Amino acid sequence: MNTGVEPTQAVFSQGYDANRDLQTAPHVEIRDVHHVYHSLEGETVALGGVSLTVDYGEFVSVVGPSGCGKSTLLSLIAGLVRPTSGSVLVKGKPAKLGDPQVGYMLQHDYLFEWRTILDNCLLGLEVRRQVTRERKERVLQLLEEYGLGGFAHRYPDELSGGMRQRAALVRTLALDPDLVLLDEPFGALDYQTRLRLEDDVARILKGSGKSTILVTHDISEAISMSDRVVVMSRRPGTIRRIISIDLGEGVEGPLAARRSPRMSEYFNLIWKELEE
Amino acid sequence: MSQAVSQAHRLYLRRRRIRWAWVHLARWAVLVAVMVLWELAARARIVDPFIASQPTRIWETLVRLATAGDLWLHLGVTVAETVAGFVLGTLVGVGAAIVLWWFPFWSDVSEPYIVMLNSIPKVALGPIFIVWLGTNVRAVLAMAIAISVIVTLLMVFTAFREVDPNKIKLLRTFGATKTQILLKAIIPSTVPTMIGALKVNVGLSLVGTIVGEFLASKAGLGYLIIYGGQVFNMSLVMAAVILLAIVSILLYYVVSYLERQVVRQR
Repeated sequence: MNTGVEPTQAVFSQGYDANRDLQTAPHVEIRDVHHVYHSLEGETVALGGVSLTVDYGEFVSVVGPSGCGKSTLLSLIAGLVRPTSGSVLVKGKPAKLGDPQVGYMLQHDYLFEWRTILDNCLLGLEVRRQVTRERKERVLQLLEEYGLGGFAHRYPDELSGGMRQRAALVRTLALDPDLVLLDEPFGALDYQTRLRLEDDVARILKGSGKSTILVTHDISEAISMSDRVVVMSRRPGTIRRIISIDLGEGVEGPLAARRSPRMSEYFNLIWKELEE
Repeated sequence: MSQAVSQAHRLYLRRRRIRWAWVHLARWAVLVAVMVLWELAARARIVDPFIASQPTRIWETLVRLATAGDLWLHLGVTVAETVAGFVLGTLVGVGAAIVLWWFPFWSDVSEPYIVMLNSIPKVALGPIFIVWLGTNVRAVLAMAIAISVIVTLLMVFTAFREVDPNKIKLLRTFGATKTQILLKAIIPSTVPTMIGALKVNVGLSLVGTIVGEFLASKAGLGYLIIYGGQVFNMSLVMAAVILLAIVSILLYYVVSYLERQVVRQR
């Protein structure tokens, strides 16, 4: 699967080369995974043989038509479902539900409306019985950093959509995962909020050296945020092509990336893959 | 400009206030008119006071009951039975809903039985309670609970099942246990439903209590009504019915007040 674009070390992940050399296994390794859903109406083959590896500190996007099994891929990595066949390894071990080093962010924020923003963000720590004064301080600090400092003690219905999704991000990061799974987290936002949040999320996740897998149907979003873009086929989902993204030196962040001249080349490349 | 707007607004508010004053006035006027017409009709023998009673006689009966101390006994018994009935009915109903949520297999198994129990008029179970529990407070309580427990169970269990599965999914990705899912998502998100059930149950438990008192009791407003009917003392029946109306309104307001307190806390 030669892409015509040489895989390059993205400017963002410079600090992780040393780290990577210490690791023997990739962060995520998916080996020939097939997945079938059963229901009374029949069975659906969601994934038809997918293999993919994600390195430490890498930002990988998965794009594809609706129902191609993109979200299933994330559920498998999070351990919510087991593959029908094949294996899903995180740090060389089978994916396990409730792994504190894996953070999962969904399309909607699913903030609990009866909890304050701070209490929502502490949910993961609470479930693991790890709420301490220091961790609470850290979550407050995260809220501060993401522009929610004044809203820690407000309730979700007092916040705008973009702010709620930021709060959901803080909730995900509160456990300090080193792998973050994003399932169309910007899909429900208006365009402006979306661009700004993409920028913030990319900066936050890359800046802290976390590995990220983003599922999206927005091609521009995938190109502008990622080191690599995985293009999937129609159901049963298989990988059609993996494209390394290099927008050139000095292009930092999705907003700048969207203005990059190479953007449209990548866009056309992925569009064609999806069309076929 | 803003002066003009605020003046128009003030006028609007005044008109609203005046309208409400009229509504309140008319409400009292209707009550007074009914009482006066009833009294006059009874005095003019247009209606037979022996059958229909009359406001002055009802008032005398109430005063007599109050001075003899019986009034407070009967009121107290009915209120206590109703409160115990709806608190227990709600607790048992919520508890059963939790059990059904925990064991999906058994919730499927029990579904037709619950539907059947729900559609039986609970009053029909009266004689069974009397035989099993005796003609006493226990039978009355059983009636009050029986009438509210299944409704609570169905309301709360339905609400449990309607909790957004993604909220549960979220908790699962954090590694939550079933108990944690219950305590952190299922119960808190259904608190409004439970309060709603409480509101419905106040009324239902009062019905259950009165029916229970009809069948098996020596005190309470239901007892007064049945007794008054048997000795053809319509003033006593009417007085007890009026007390019952006041009790039901007060209980409803107490629960509404509790609801507001809980909502404010959230």
